[in-house]
Amino acid sequence: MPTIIRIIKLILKKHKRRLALGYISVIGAAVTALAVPYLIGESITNVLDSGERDVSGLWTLAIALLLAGTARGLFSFGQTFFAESTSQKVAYDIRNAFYNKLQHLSFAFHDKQNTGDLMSRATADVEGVRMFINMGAVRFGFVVAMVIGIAVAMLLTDLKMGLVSLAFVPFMAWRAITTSRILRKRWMVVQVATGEMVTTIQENLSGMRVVKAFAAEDYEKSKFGVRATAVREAIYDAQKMWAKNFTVMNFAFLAALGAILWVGGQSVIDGRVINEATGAVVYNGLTPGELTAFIFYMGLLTQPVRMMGFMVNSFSRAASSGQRLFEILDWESPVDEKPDAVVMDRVKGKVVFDNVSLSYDGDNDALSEINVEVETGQIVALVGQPGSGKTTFAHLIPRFYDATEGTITIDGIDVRDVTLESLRNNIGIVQQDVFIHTASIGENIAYGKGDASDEEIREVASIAQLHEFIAGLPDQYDTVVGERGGGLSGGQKQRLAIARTLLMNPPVLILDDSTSSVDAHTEHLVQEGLEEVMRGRTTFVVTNRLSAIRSADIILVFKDGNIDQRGTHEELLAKGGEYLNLYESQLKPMEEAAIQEVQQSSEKDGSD
Amino acid sequence: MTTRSGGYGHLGRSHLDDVLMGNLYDHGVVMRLVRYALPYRFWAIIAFVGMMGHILTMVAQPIIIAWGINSFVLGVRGDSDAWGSLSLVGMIFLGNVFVNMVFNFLQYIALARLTVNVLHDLRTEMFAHLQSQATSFYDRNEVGRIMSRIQNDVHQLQEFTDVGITTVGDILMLVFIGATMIYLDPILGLVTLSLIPLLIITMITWQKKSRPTFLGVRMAISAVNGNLQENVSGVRVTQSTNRQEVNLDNFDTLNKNHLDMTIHASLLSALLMPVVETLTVLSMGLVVVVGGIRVFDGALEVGFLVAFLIYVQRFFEPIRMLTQQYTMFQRAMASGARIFELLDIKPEMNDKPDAIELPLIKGDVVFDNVSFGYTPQEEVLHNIDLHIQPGQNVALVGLTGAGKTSLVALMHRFYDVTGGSIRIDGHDLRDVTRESLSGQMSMVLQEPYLYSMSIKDNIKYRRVDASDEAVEAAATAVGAHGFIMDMDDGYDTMLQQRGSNLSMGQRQLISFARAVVADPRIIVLDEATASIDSRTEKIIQESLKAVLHGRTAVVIAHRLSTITSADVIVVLDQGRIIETGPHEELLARGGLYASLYAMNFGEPAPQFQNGSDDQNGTGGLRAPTI
Repeated sequence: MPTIIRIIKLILKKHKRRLALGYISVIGAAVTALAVPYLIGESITNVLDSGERDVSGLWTLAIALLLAGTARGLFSFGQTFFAESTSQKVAYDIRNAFYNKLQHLSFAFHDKQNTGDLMSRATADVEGVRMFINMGAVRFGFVVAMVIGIAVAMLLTDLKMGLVSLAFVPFMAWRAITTSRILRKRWMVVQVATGEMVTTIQENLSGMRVVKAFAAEDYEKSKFGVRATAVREAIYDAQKMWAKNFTVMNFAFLAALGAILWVGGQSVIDGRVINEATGAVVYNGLTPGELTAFIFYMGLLTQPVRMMGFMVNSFSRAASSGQRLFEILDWESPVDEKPDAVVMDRVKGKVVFDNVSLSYDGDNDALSEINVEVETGQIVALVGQPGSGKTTFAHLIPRFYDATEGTITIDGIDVRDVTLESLRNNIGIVQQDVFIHTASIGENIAYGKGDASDEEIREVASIAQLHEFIAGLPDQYDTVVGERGGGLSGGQKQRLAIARTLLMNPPVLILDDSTSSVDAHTEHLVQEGLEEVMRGRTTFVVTNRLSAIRSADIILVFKDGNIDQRGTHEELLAKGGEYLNLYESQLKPMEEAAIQEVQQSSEKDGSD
Repeated sequence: MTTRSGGYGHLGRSHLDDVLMGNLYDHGVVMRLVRYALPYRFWAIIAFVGMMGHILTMVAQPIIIAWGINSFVLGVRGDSDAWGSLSLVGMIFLGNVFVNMVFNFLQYIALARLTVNVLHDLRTEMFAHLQSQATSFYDRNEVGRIMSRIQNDVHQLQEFTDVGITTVGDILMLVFIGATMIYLDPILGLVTLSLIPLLIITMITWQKKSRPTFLGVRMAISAVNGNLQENVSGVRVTQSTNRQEVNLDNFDTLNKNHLDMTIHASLLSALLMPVVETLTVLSMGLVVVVGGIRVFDGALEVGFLVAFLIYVQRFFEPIRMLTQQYTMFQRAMASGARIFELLDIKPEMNDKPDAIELPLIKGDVVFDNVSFGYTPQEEVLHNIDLHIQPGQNVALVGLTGAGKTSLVALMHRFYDVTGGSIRIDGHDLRDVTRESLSGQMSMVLQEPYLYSMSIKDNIKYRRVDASDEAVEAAATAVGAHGFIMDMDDGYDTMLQQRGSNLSMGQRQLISFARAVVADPRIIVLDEATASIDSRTEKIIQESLKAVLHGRTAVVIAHRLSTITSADVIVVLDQGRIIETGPHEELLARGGLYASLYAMNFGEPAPQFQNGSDDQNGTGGLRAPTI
């Protein structure tokens, strides 16, 4: 319930007027709708009013009918339009808020979320809330107004007949509500089964080479067959349930119609007085016109009663969807700006870690009591086994995470005292997984600096050894890349990231290079680009490439969240221990490949 | 890599992909769907009977009501014999309603059975069809595109069959109601029906006018979701580069555009309400006036006047539904066309009609003057001659793009050679069934592909009937038994998608165990280059020995130990074999191999003109060898 109230507050906050117009339309639609059966009843009475041939009376009634119907149409228009547009406007607000929240939540949040789940919140759950605003908040009024209006009209016309007709309503309402709940569950089963089937297809298609390599086509077909059959039966079950409910509801309405005809007809007969002399008939009880009106009231009642099921569903769906949305919107980012955060000017680049510890879960330290002092312009290599804490260390500097204890300062300023934007403007990051947006190459390079000129972009692309490649493309810098555009190789992506960072010209640089998907030839080109980038900046490089490590001023060897060793390459080799271990198992074999490539490329450059 | 496009079996970005809506009725598509329904004609007949029963009882109801009203209105005027008693009418009405319910239920149940079966068959056939496609089909078509055919297009058809077939019932109902009205009173009937053309013209005009808007809404929402998805995936870059505000602006533009579109669309759909409502009451008004006069004239009994009013009420609802289903019909036709397009793609490498089962082989492989290209314009392997003896271990060595992967793919007949032939134990690969060939050959890929099933099922993937002992023995042989037993459920531990709950090395070991259980005569191995820790590296080296032992093996080798222990090293360069022989012999020869080896291990290298085909200097996709 609190979720529902919060959604209603969301509507009231900005769209009160629209909602009010919606409700006015609802009332208008209900009242004018009631006029139609009444006028039809009157028409029959008029026709039966024996002796008189009152054609002008018929015309009057026909015009009244036309006016009432048209008015009802206009009100329905208002009701549909205002309900729908209010719901869309709220959905728009929620989408924007959700989007913005996501881009401000820290890495710690994104590490734990998967894209599919967030997307399903942004699509299915937003739709759930939207449907509630449309169905639950506005049309619910229509249902209530209609049911009450029809009940009053029937009871005023004839108390006994009114009670007979309405006797069916509670039964049908109850049925509509309970079955729509059960149906919803059945459709969830369908969804789950479909999800499993889709996963099977997805795995099959992505792993087609394995299927082919093992001649497992028949096995795959039988695996798929099980899933597909489950989907078939689930859909059939749901449809059977629906058919059962639909036909029973239909039956109940028609039976009610029969009861009106039978009981009402009897009541007409009981109340009629026939003047033997003139043959004129007077109806003292229910008149045939009123009976006709009852038949049409009943027809009018079907719609709102059927809608009750949807209403109840939209409530429960909105409650769960709203909860899932608010969970994200209310998420407190562990990395937050202080209210009095100041703007950090361009720094020189002295970075100090003072007794820094970090724990992701509160129990285990991912980093413990780290003390490091890096002078302006120094290159620091971070090495260690996967999970030893080297990437975490690097991510603390731009506050992708916050230290649980201790402080990190740049030029003596605590990173938590400045605005996130100004802090990150001072730090450039080249990540190992380069994300390319669906946009032109030029725009991708200028991603962090939207106002960069074409010359600037060209210049950084040249430094990153990317210009030649781009110049060879049909649309050059306007070539669209990314998910929907053409693909870039791993090396090209990395060079693009380097160009991007160069353009931002940050005094502090973080290069995450720990595993690389590029071959050694490309690696060599990237390496040259990297050296260009590192010049004159305080650089932290997460790597297991000896060439990068050798050029470092200090190497920090991470092990289990601690800095196990520190020093230059030669010092550390001499010391033995963890570094020597790493050197033997990882660094050396990689260097061998690198040397080979360097030689080959120089030969190649010579031969070109 | 050049992008390959065009040619046979290419789904990508065909014009059909952009067609959201097809014609209202596509005879070819409908007829093919009907063919799928033929096996279930029993259900189709039941559905038709149910539908007719439902329609006839529904059409009869207003007449029974008329009968009832006449019985007490006209009865007093002395015609009571003609109309019988009210209780008889009441009972007949209730009987009608009950029969109606039964028919209605029959109709829906039979329809549901029919449509789920047809769609199931269609899905199964699509899946089976995809299994029969050659590897080249998957080179040409992205998984996402194929998925969308199986998922979205079948879903469209499902929606269509769910609602679309009842549309046929709606149309029949209209015909029957119209006929009944004209039969009861031709003048009043025609007056009532006179408004129908007006309604239909309004609806069709509305459809045409509003179609771009509804299409626009669909496109706008997919742009919104696409942008959101990209932002979620790229959030780390966004935060690193302080792009939040620009991004939000961009998103807001898309979101706002969608909002404007939907508001416009809701305006359009709401607009239909007053039109339909007005026409309905206009029609009722006509019935009241004209029908009233007819009653005054004694040409119509009052009960039938009521019946006419009820008919009018029941007439307009289906018509409104029909127009709403208009777009659905069009979407379904487009989807149907896409599905059948996929089903019509013939597998490129069918077995020959007279293909034989490859008998149990020794593992003697001959490449006889083999040439191959992915496209006719571009040959990647030229005149390959190679003879691999049974049980021999061959290491393929060469630079990126030299043709190593293509060569092993040919051996497995992922592709057919464009020149020459490949023979195993004297049988040309093209003369044997693919199944019997793959049955005796295993391929271990660089990136092991595991499924979201238990570890045991993953290992048994190739031999579903393997016993638990065989699985364990295989796992032990490759050194995977230990870590498997350390997991919570041992061999029954469920793997996540792509085995993401295992380390890279562990995944590799499981894929080795899989190959061992299969016990193939020939094994093809694309050695992993991904960096794994040194301990796993050692275990993998050990287990490789178990995998390769006693089999003909072709390894795309990246590790020195694999290369030196191979019986023969084949050095490929630019699609040609330039050297073959054991390690020492090749070293002594002083060619490319010696040069590569020397560069690797620090000894002075003879100058060698390198011929990498990486012309644009952008790097290939695969790691280099040695």
